[in-house]
Amino acid sequence: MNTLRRITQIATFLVFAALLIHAAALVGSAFASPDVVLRLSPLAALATMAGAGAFIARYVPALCLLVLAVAFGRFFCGWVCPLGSTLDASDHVLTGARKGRKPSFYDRRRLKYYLLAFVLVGAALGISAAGWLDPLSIATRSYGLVVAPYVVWLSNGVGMALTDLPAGPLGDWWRRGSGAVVADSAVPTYDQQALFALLLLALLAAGIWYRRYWCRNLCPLGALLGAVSLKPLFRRSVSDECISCHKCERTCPMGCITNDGKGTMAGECILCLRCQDACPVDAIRFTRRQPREQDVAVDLTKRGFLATMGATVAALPFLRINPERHATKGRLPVLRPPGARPEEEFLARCVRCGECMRVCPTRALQPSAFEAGVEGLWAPQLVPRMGYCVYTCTSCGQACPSQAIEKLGFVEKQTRALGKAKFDTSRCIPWRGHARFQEGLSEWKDCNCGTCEEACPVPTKAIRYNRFVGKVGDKEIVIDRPYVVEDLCVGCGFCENVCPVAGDAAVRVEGPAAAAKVAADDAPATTPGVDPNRVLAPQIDAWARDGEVRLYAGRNALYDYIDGAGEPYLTYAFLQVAAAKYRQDKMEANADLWYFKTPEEAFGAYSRDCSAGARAPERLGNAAGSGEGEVWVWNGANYLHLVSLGQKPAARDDLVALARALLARMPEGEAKLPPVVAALPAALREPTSVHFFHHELTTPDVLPPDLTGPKGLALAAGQPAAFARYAEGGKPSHWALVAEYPTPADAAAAARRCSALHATAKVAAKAGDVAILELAPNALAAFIQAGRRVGVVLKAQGIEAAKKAATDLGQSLAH
Amino acid sequence: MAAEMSRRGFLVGTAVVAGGTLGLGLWRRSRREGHRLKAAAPSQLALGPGRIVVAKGQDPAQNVRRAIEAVGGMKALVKGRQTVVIKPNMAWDLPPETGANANPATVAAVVALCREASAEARVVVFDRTMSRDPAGPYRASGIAEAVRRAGGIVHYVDESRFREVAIPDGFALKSWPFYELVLFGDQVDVLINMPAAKTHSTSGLTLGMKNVFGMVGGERGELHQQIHQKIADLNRVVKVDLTILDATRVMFRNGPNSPRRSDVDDGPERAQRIVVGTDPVAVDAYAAKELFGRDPADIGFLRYGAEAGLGEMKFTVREA
Repeated sequence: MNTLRRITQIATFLVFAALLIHAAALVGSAFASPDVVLRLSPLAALATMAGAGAFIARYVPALCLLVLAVAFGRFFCGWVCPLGSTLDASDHVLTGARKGRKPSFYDRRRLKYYLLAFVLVGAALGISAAGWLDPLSIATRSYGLVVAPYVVWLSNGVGMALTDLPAGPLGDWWRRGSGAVVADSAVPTYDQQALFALLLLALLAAGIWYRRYWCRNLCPLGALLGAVSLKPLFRRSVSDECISCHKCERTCPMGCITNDGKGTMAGECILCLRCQDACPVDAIRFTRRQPREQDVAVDLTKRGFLATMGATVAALPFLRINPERHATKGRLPVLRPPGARPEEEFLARCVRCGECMRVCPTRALQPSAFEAGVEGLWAPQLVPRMGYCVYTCTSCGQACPSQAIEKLGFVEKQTRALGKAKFDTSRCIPWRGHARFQEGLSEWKDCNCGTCEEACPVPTKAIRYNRFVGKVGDKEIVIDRPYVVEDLCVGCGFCENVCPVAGDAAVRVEGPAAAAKVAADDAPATTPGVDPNRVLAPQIDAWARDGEVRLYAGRNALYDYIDGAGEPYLTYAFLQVAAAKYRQDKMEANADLWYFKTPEEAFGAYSRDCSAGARAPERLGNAAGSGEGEVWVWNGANYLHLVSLGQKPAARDDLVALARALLARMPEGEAKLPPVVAALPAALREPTSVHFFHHELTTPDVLPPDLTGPKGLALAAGQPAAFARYAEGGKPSHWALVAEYPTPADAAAAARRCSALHATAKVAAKAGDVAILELAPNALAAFIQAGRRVGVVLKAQGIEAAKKAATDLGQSLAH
Repeated sequence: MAAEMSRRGFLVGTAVVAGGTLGLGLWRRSRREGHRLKAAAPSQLALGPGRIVVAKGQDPAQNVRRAIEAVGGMKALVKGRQTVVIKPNMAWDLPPETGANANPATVAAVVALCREASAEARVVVFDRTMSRDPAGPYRASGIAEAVRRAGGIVHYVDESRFREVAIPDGFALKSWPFYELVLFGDQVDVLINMPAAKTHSTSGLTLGMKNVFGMVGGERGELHQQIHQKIADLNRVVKVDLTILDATRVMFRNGPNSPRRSDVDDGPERAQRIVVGTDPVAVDAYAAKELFGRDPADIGFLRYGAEAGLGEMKFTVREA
């Protein structure tokens, strides 16, 4: 049995070690989660659930173990626990040291029960102590943060030495082989590494006095497992053959055999079965039945228990009084990992195992000391100067056994800010250079830096430049001074990490006030079909491009281009706009190439601009118009807008030619019109007057507000509508408006409301069953409903025209 | 069990152990000094100043093969038991689709070509990544895995192996630490630079010459002031024997590290190609002009590079 136990111990330890070594690679794999061993601790499970006041599904394995412990007691300690196995293995060294030593060191098994009470009661009171004392946390912390880096360091040292040897490939072989075993290439460094090493050594060294000193006197998890073993299946029972040779007593690693080998302390046996093997007369059996007198109780005392409770409560203020929080005016003094829950709950859940620090690819996560108060001891914090949070990485949340760090999706993760970066302009190189330039230094050295901007992983860049252009003598100089767009900053710390300023960085991430978010970035997720740099080429016929193509992708970038007038474009599912300036002789023209999500939306933006200024239609793209020094073209999901600038206005022909040349560089657009536009009768329509809209920001100004307002059509945001003017024989005949509703009932209600708006108006005529109202002399209107659509005829010139318009619109609506 | 030890034995033992450690240290130091800087490798490649070869097509590995064959095959450069060091751009913890790093298939193809040219050659691949622990970018880029499969050696940068080198004529740098593996003649025979084609927020573009940033040590951020001069200065020191620009994908905006697919062009019009040359300035000039529509003379580091005599901005292209 001893062999079987030893094999199990070694096997489970190897699993533990492999999970720890390859933790980073295992994150997200279907094979195994790196935290499976940690999730076996019922102590951590109960304490975190009590502290967080929530059921944590990831701890189901721990709860299973707790149930198993009812029947199997502390078998986990003897067969599985990696810390227990470590103590067993290290014991061989200490056997000699123990020999002849009089055991006088503190040896009270009840202490661990008091520690257990402290952890569980403390958890309920808001002290998160489980992580400091849970043996699985201790093992993970010790091996992950101390032993693993140590082995990598040794392995790298050997590799380096071998590379120096004349034998050439030996070093490469070593590195390849060790790479598979130690997984890390650079030595991971962690704060307080030496402290964790000393604590581990102390646990091992306590074996000088007693074997498994930790397990018998201190381990609160052992106490918990022992305490719940109410119906043990395997109890040590000693038959009458016992000769009281004390061999079993000497061999028991837990020292739980008493009464001349006949008694066993309840809840102390770890079922290692060493005594069975040691017994010379085969008197020991592990069965369900155990003679009553062989069951010895642990020396728990009521007084001790009460003292523990008192001490726990008394300790509370020392852990909760947190000067650090006052010192930072309510901000968190540290950066927590991405997906960390609100600080209180985070600390209540965190089991201080260091698994997140193991899987963090940049070693950005480090154990805190007292930065966030005593209660924050050893919880992870992000230290940007050590490493940064990788924008596309969610490893820590996936490895966290208690979900103190939530498991986030990539999209969700990228919207949670860890903090916000702030520049110290008195340290930042370009800002310093600018200040010195202003001070009038005659000699000027390039002080542009931009390392932070380069590193910023936010697609639209949360660090941008404030450009200063000055002159030194005749030479124009440019200083790009970086600043942070706080709305976009994710607080990853990459900028602080790479900042070349020695010592404290010139840009630092500050802790969030509370659950800081990142503003949504609606920049295109897919490649728009047309590449702006291809279309807006440096030379278009006689037109030469002046400068670069400027690209503004996404909602926030649009504000950089047109601040204050960009919103209408945003209502049309805006993706991006590329702008370029062209010159020919003295003519200047600005070309905007807009991209929208769909051709319909592009048509909307095009129709809004074109209907406002166009004089004549043009045969360009899918639809186009030209006006005073402007050309508008709809082409599929793109909208091209040319404006003449400069002293000499470009003639219509010049602009149209430029537009044609630009369009020739784009594929033919998909002429997909919004259905409401198709519902407008095509006959007699002024082609450039069509206007598609679905937001009050883009509703045509000429429409009376009471018609579109809540008492009339009640057009809601997102509701499609189209407007057009009609003319006959060069003279305006009427306007038509079509709006689409979610249901026919909504449409009918809207039509009724519109008619009621003009309840006092005279019915001038009828077209079918539609009444034509006379609103004012020569101002006729009709409201028609068909299915989900409502049609409106306005400003009809004369009864006959109104009748015809209403009939046409009614027919067109039905299609 | 514990044997008795005399005072004399203690002193002798201490002296032996201390002396041995010291000796080992001195021996290692001696091995590190007196290195000769790497010279340009003797090459029979049909390339030269201003001459570059471009291979276009959908399969990056085939592009590499065609381009190298067109200039005389890898045998013209790699021979016998040489050590070939390949420095791809694998600085970023981003997957191949983003085009932030060199394409793994391209790198693997170059490794395979070197191995085919000489079975005894050691082909070592490394980069000094943006991440302190290179494992992330090595893995995410897919290059480490591809190189191992192709029979190459994946090398992790050893921070103790950077050596300060003087740059007497430097525009902005007087000296800078370089990695031994690209520097010393006894550690590398052939140096192949494998950049990706991307825009860059500080230097405008990042191509072959800028890729040298991954061959040097020191504080990377310090190189970002007067970056154009410094790129040229670093290129004066490293003797790149072959530049293979990977334009399988082209990051045409928000470079050098956009995670977004929409910032990457993988179409045949400007991507899907490999650019090969022994003249680093010409390779970059081609890329600036043909892939990004920029005038090479507008790119600072190309101007300084040409001024430093590293190559020619005027190039002649041959299609393979």
